[in-house]
Amino acid sequence: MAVATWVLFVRALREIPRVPTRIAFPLIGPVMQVILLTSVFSSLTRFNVYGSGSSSVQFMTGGILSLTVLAGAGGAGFQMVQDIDSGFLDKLRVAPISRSSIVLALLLTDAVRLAAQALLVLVIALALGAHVAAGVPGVLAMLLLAALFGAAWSGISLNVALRTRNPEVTAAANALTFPLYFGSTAFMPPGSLPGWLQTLVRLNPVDYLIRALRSLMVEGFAAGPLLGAVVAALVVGAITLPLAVRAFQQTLSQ
Amino acid sequence: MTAVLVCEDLRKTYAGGVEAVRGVSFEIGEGEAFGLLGPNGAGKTTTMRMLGTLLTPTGGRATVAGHDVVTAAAAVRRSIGFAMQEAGLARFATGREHLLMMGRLYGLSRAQARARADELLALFDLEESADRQVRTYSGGMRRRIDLACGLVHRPRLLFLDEPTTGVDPASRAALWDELRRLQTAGVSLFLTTHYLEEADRLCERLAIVDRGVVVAEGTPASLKAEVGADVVTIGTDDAAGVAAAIEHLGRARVGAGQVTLELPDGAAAVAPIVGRLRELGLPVGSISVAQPTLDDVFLRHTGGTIAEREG
Repeated sequence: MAVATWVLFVRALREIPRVPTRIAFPLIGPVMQVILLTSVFSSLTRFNVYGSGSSSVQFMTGGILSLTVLAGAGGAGFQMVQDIDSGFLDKLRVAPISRSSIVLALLLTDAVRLAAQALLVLVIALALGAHVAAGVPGVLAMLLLAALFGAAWSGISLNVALRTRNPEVTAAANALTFPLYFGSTAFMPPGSLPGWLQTLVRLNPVDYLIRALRSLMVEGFAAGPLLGAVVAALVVGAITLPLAVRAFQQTLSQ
Repeated sequence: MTAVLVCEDLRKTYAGGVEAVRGVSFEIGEGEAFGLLGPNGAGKTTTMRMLGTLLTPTGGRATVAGHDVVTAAAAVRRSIGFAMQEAGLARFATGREHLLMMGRLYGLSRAQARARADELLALFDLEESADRQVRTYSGGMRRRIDLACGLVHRPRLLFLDEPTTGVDPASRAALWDELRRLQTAGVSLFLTTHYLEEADRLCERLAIVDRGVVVAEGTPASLKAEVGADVVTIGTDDAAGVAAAIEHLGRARVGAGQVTLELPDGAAAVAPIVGRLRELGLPVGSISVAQPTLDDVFLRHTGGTIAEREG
């Protein structure tokens, strides 16, 4: 299983730069936000909305990195639909390899791609004046969180891909998760949100990722937010991934 | 003859209630070339996908190389190669990458996979395009690299789902040659096709499938013989004389400048006829044999032609 996972992971990774749109397209939203939205909100810095000395770009980058993860996490599903369509997946299914190695390879690929995309957005944020309070180890932690949460989140697009085998529906389903980014603490500190939203945000797994990324940007290493994000990723993964493996085993051979 | 594939009363009813395969049974002998012939939608591909472990049957049982296709799927997968309908390839991977990848997935070491890839690229005349992405390949090239992928692990039995659909006539003939060569080398072939000519040229034995059941089975020759006799036509200036000379073979009909004769095996009768007419000094301009086609066979068993079924 290790060999098959590795071989398929290398294959998917190798094909990423051959389809540049696949890495560029999900980046459009996050890059625009990190450049434009942080500027739109920059006047709030003067009113000390983001805490003493914290600028809008400093505060919002964590959230925008989470959007990078959500937007990019459609990749696994998209690749799956494409492999179903071309018949390449059938070729893998008649090979004597475990079904989970096929799924695992796609998740690993997404994890690496998402970390790379997050790094790119982070570099733009740094160029715009943000800094990472947790330093270089903090950057590594942010990329690891993006990879872990992203792999769990790409289980959603995988499920939709396997159950519908339709690229448009798969892309749309992934976009449907974006409200979890907007309905979060990504733009404003938790205390400034309306009461009902503050309650909802507690149930929003994406918000745990946002808080962890932001704490690494703003405060440095803090156990609470990091643990929260890891648990959120594990909970999401514990739901999406077994379902994806099951969908793989069942729907395709029915 | 030992069987490399046995299926008994295989059935597939889809969740929506569509009965795609309604009890199909046949055997494929070791080293044999066996085909399922029928129109699109007859259940050929569904049958092949069940036997290749891609679909779960809803009834019946089947073994490939002695392994049950449901309970021992992994063992079945190791014994077969599978060339997909429309060639199942990753568009953005190169031909060589495909072969290396499949080699590794079938348990070859890196070095073995590299050596096998080189061998197959040479065998299928793909060396020049080996490092181009397959999206730039022609239909025939895609089929060849797909076929090569299916042979990486030297399977005993090769599944070919519509192996030449969408391939131009020249490439089709070349593919047929390659498949025959493989069979000579000891690989059993199991193919589906809706091309009568392909079934006729490649298959030693055929099952004709229509609406999810096998309606006839046998060698192409025996199936055609069942339908009717061959028609031997002799062009001659002395029709009456020729007719009299071959009367003992069967009922000869005299026409304008020709004699026709119905025989069960026309091809085998040509040499004796020519010999006898020479002996008697009778003039022979031409001699031809028209055989019933597989379409005649299909028509007889299903009441329609393959083209009509697909229309």
